[in-house]
Amino acid sequence: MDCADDLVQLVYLRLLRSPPLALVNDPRRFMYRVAWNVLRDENQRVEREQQRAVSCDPEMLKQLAERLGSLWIDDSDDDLIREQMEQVLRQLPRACQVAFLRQYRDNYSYIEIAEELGVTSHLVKKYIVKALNHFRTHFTALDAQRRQPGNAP
Amino acid sequence: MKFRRSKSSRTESQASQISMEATDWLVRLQDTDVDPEEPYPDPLERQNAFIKWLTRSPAHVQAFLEIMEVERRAGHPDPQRLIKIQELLDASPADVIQLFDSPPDGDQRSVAESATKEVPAWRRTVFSRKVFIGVAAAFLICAIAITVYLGTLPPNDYITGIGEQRTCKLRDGSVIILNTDTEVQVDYSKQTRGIRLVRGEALFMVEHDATRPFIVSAGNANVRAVGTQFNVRRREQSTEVAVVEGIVQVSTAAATPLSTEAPEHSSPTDTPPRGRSITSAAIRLAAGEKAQVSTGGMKISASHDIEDVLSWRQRRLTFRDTRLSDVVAEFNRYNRSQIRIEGSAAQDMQMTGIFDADHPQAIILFAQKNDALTVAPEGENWVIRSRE
Repeated sequence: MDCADDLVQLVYLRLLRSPPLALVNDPRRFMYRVAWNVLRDENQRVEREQQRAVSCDPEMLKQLAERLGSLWIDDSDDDLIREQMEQVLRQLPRACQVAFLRQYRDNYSYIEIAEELGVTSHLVKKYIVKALNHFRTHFTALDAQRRQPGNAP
Repeated sequence: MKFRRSKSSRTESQASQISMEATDWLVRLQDTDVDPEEPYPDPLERQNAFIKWLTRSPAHVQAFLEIMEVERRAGHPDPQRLIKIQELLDASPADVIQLFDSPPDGDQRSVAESATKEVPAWRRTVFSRKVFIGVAAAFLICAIAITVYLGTLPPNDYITGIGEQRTCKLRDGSVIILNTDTEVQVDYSKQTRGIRLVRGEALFMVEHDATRPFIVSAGNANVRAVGTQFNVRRREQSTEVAVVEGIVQVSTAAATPLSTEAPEHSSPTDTPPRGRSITSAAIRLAAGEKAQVSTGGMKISASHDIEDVLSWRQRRLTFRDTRLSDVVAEFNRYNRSQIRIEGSAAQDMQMTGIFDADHPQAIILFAQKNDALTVAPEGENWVIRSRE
């Protein structure tokens, strides 16, 4: 079992233990918080048991924690990655590009995007789902490529 | 975050199904408004359904964490704003115009191209005839509906209760988003699109129509627009107008014949406007500018915080060095349980922060932690006092 799977298990268990139900106002932020708490607790545990064998590599856990900690900060200042991202964006149909840029670059609401494109906000959501799925495919491929020896950036 | 890929192809297809659902949830949760087209129109029900989905298995948790990570990595596109939306829109009629509200599977451009290439001419004719009949029927139904609608309805009234928000699309395509405890009356005629903000706060996104100006009257203020976006908040003794996009013309009700109502009740305690003060009939207000209109005249200010003005749409309250009494007044707009402040030291205390409009507990907690304040429950309500 690798570290990410551990994290998922721990988050899952925590969710089961205290189901949030109606108390969650922003489920995404909530999920980050749960994941973050799990990582923090795990880090503390690792520090406490430094000499003992644990299922997770502490270094990797730390990296994950750093990643989670910087979640709400724009860390996309890498020119190469940014260029790649724009290429990936341009592979999408133009309406998807507009919807994605309006939502993530300009903070438009779905209704505002729908107005601009002359479609329903339901369809706008479909465009954004499509764009995100496209990016996921890209990242999966990118990460697989990086994992191969000799390809590390 | 890197996730290990599943091994067998069966679990792989299951995983990809769950991944697709996760993306769907991520996007649907972004919408915190009531949406009748949703399987769960009520945002609260939607969240509950999401939590149920999420806790179904670790694979669901993994898929959701994964798509959140994708969103984080992809979520800052084009930071220098080099991509011109207008160019994309101009070049994309094939992408935008859709006959059917179907999920855009695959590249729409190529779908559209292959359709025109491969479908035989006779099939296209049948297809377009069907579409034509459908469209004609739709027009007929619309025409009947509009006739009935116009014949029977008085000016439309849109109302929200305490804590409610609502989005209304008007006949001309303009959209009004009502904040908590708000009433808006819509009165369209051939010459003007008249709106009256009876109380509360609303964001107006005006569809362009040069022949019929869009006029919002609120208290002492009249706001005239052709096609733009602006926020109007009516307070007891003044009205605030903030322009998000384009230009509007603001005038005081007394100075213009466009007014549909007498000037709002004014008392001698009206605070005189500070800063650049204008008493003349009408001024132009551009994007990023705010005007406060009261019986004393108009006060114009450049607003660097238009985002703050509109944060109510996310049900967030944003304060920058705001007096506690004003902070509490904001919370009280959104919640039935009310907070009262006693003592001038407590009222004048300043605070900065972003809060969830639906959780006045945050303010109670803030006061409890502060040594200078005491908090006491009073039935459903709360009282904050200065500790003397």
